[in-house]
Amino acid sequence: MSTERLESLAKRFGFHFLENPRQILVVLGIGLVLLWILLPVYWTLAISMRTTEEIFGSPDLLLNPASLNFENYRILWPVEDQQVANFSRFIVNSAIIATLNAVLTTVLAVPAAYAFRLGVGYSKHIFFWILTNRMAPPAAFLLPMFLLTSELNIIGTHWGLAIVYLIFNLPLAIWLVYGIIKAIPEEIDEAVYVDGGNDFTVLKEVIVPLSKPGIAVSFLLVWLFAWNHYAFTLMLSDDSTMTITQGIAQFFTTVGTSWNLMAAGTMLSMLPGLVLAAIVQKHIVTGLTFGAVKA
Amino acid sequence: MAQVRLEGVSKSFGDIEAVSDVDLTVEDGEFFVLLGPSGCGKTTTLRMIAGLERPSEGTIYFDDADVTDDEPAERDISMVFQNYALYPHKTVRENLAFPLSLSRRDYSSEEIDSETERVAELLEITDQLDKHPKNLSGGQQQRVALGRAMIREPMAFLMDEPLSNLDAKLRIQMRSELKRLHRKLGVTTVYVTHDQTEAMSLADRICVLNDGRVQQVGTPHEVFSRPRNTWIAGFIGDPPMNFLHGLLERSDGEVFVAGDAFRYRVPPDVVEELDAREVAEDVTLGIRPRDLEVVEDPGQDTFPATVLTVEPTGERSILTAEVDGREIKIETEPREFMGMQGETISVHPQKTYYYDEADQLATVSSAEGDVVEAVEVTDKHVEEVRKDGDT
Repeated sequence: MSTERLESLAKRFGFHFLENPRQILVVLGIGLVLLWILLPVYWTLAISMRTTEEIFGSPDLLLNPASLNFENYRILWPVEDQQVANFSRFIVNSAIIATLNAVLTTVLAVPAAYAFRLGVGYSKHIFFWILTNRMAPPAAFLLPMFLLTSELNIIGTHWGLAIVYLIFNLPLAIWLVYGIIKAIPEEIDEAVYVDGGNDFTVLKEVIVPLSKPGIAVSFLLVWLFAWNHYAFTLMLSDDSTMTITQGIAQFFTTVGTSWNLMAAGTMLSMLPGLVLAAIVQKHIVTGLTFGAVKA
Repeated sequence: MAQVRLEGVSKSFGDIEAVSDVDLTVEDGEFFVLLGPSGCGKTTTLRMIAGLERPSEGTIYFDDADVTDDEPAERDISMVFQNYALYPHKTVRENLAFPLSLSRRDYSSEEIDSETERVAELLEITDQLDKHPKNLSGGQQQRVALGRAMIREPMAFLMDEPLSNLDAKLRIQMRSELKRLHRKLGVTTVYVTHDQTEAMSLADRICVLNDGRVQQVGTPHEVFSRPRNTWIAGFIGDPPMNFLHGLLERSDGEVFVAGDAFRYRVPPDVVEELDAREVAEDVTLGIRPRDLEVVEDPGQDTFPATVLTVEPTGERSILTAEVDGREIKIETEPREFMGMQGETISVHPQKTYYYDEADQLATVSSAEGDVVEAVEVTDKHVEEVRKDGDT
C-alpha cells in the first residue's frame, strides 16, 4: 500500500498519522486489542474447517478457500439419530435454559431494582447482601444446589438449571438495572403519583419504558452467562437436557480429543449469542430520558 | 375545588426542621403564593399539601376532610413541577391524557380525546400534540406541564416555581397567562416562588416564609406596605428597605430617633401611635430607598449621609450612602442628584416604618397616603376582580 493511499484511508477514518504521531500509537493499540480478541476466534474457525491430519500436520496460518471443509459441522448436525453428538438438541436445550433464566431474572430484577430505588425498609443492607451472592465462586453452590434440586425434584430439567442460575444472574441484573433506574428523575415518579397513580403505575408507565435499553443489555448479559455456564450443567442436567457447553466438552475424552469437532461446536455455540446481540442492539437506544426534566 | 387548611404542620428531616408549626388557610378559588428565600420550607409545605411528603406533626384538611395520611392519588390535586417532569417517552397528547387514563372516573377514549384537544387549544399547543417533550422549547414544555395539571378539575393546583426555568421575557408572558387561566378556571391554587415580583403580580394573598416559619400572610399590598418585621421588610422590595437603629429621645414635646450620627424628628401621628403601643426606647427605623429624598437644606426631618457610589440605571439612579456607619440605598430620579462620591448630603424620608425591640412593626408614618385605607381598597379590588372572573 502506498503512503498516499494509507494516508487517505487513515484520513477517512479520522486519523491523521503524519500530522499527529500519537495517532499511530492509538491505532497500534486498537490493532493489538483486536488481534487479542479475534485471533483465537479465527483460529477456532480455522481448526473447525480442517481434518485432524491437517491440524496436526503443519497447517498454514491462512485458510485456503479452496479446501474449506464443512464435514465437522455436518457430523455435529446429523440427520436422524445416528450421530456423534446431537448439537441441534444441545442448542435447543441451552436456548431454553438461557431464555427461561433470562426471563425469570429480568422479571424479578426490574421490580427488585425499583424497590431498592424506592428505598423500601432496610433496602441498603439487602442491596449489598444481594451482591455477596456473587462473591463466592458459583462452584461453591454446586453441592447445596444438587441436594436442593434433587429434593425439589427439578434436577435434570430445564427449569432446574434456569432457577439455579438465578444465584449469580439475579444480583448482576439487579445491580445493572438499578444503575439505570437510579438515573430516572424521581420527579417523574411524583408526577405519576399526583396524576393518580401508585408505585405499580410508576413501574409500568415510567420505569420499564424508560429503562428498556438497560433492561435489554441486562437481558443479553444474563442470557450469555446462562448460555456459557458449564459447571452446573455437569451435575444438574441429564441426557435429555444436556447443554451445548457439555456437548463441546464431550470431545475431550480419556481416549483423545477431537479438536476439529470441538472447534466446530464452539463456533456453533457462538452464533445464537451473536444473533441475540444483534436483535438487542436495536433496542439499545440511549437518550430516551433526555428532555424529561430540564436540567 | 376546595379550601386547603394546614393546622400546626411541621416537617423534620433528621435533626433539621424544614417547616415548623405552620397554620394556613387557602380559601376556595384563591391564588395563594408561598414566598420565601431558598431553604425556607415553601416547597416542603407544598409537597406536604400534595401528599409527596408526610408532615411530622399537624393536620392538613381539604375542605373539612382530613387528608394528612392520604396518598397523592387520593387527594385529587394536580401539580406543576419546577422541572415540568413530563413523561419523556410519551407524546404531548399522551402526557396530557395520562391523568385522565388514571382517573377513578372512567373516561371513554372519545372523552379523553376531546378533553386533550380542549386543553391543547386553551394553551395553544395543538400543533405540538404528536411531538415528544424533548422536541419542544422550554415554554412549550411549560404549557404541556400546565395542561397536564389542568385537564382534570382537581381540588387544587399546586405549582412549584413553574416559571423559574423560562427566560425573562417568556416568564413575564407566562405570568400573565397564568393569571388569566386562574381567573378563567377559578381553581384553588397554591404557588411556590422565591421571586417577589411573581408573587406580587399573581397572588390574591401571599404567605411569606422564612426558616420554616410563617412570617406574614396578607394581600400583596399588605405585605409590602405593612411588613410585620424587619426580615420581611428587607425581603420584599427591591432594593431592600434600609434600617437604622436608634433610641427614642424626647425633648420639648418632640420625639426624635437618634443614632450616633443622626437625629431624626418623628412625625406627630407616629408619636401618638408609638405611645399608644408603649414602644420601648430601642427602635429600628425602616425606610424604603424610593421613599428617600435628597434635599438641599439639612433640617430636623433629615439626616446626613455620605455618598459612596452612584449607579445610574436609566430610569432611576441608586445611591449608596453611609449613615451612622451603615450603608443605605437611595432611589432618585437621575436628574435629581448630580452629586459626587464622598459628598455629604441631606436625605429626607417621606415614609418611615418603626420596629420595636421585639422586631415587630409598631407603626408606619402616614405622611404620603393613608396605608390603612389603601389596604381596604386592595381587598375590595381583589373581590371585584374575582367576581369579574366568575361572570
